[in-house]
Amino acid sequence: MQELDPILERCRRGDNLAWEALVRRTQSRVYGLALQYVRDPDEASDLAQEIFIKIYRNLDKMETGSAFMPWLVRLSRNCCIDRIRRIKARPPARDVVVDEDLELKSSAPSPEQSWDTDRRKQLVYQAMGKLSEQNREILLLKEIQQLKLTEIAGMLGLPVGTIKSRASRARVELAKSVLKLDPSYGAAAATGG
Amino acid sequence: MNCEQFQAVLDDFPHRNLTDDSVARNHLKSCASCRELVALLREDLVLPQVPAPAGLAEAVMARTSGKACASARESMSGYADGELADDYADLLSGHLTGCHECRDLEAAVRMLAVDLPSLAEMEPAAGFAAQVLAATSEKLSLAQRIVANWQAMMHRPRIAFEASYIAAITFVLLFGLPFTGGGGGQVLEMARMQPIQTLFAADGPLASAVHETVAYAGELGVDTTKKAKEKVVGRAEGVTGWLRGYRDGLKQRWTADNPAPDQSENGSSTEETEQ
Repeated sequence: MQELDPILERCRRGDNLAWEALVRRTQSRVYGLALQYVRDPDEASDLAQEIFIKIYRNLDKMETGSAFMPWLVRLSRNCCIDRIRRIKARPPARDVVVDEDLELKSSAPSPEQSWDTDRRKQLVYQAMGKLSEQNREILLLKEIQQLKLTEIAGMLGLPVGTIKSRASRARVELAKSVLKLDPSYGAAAATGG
Repeated sequence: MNCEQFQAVLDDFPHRNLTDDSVARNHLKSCASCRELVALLREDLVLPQVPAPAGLAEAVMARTSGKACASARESMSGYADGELADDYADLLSGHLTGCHECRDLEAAVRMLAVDLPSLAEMEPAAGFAAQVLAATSEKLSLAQRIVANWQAMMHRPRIAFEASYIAAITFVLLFGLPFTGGGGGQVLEMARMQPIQTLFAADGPLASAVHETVAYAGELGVDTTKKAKEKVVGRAEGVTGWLRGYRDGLKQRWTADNPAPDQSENGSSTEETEQ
């Protein structure tokens, strides 16, 4: 994310074009994070907008360089948690969207590879939904957003050792969950698929 | 040495090598049956490889420490990521060879390391960026404007604030606090000695404080544009006007409390101080 530094600097100075570039470059990331938390595409889209508005209002506090992504994730996570609290406080006005309807695009080169990658992504996304909130969040921060253990520890207020062991257990739990949905998932891995 | 005594000492010699024991060696030369026994013992025992019955290890584990799957799963992520020490990785590898459930699970854990990062980015609906840009370029509400203005006002350095602050400090240093006893008299006495004239003069301390502030801001690289300077001068004039009004009030009180015998002397003093 070092390549974003010039854009971030321009954003701070109120450059609208730089802000647009930042939104376009990070929208998939922010939306992906929001979707993992609320697991509803419409709610996630709305939430991602809210996150960007919050980023816009906090441009002067925005971190740069390697600290940008942890800052973005922390801010997004806080927004997501606030939204989840609100969702829990009020009953949903409509049925929750079924996960299977979600379209997850991949950037695989051939259609065959693309189909396989999309299927696996879909499978993992569904399996994530079956985990506890704690396991899902730790995987989201460590394995998906690829934050450092120290960054996650600071964010969650837990020792690094606890984060490490929880992440390890959560990954095994996710593997069990994936295998329940598709017992051939492991076989695909063994053959390098 | 008889055969019984020879067989008793035979086990004391590693590899049945009797070169250090002459008595035993002599017996061996004379006894064919003992020679045959030593020759037999020197041969490497080659045991036939008999496959263990299926499930033997599991049965032993079940009757002793229980299944090792839980321990294996504790370290499975570290194993998949290659973070375990070699000797422990070998132990886990041995378990995976015999436990197909853990083997499948480990393959899935390994695969997740590849698939999970791909979930970091997901494409939002078309037009999402346009919606965000529209939302962030909307005109701010009154409450938001008040908050934004307040935040901007609090953002240092603010030249107008600095100048007002210096003026207020100057006032307190010169006259003391307005509610302290006898303040009015002191002010008038000082007015008679023309310090206020000096204070408000074009080259007086207040004016120079303002000029110094502006100059200092310039040194710091703060934008001292015309508008900012006007703001400073405006604030300084405001403070000056208030001070003049306060001074006049005190003077009236002093005059009422202490009627002067010579009106002309008092009049000339007022003219001087109001210049």
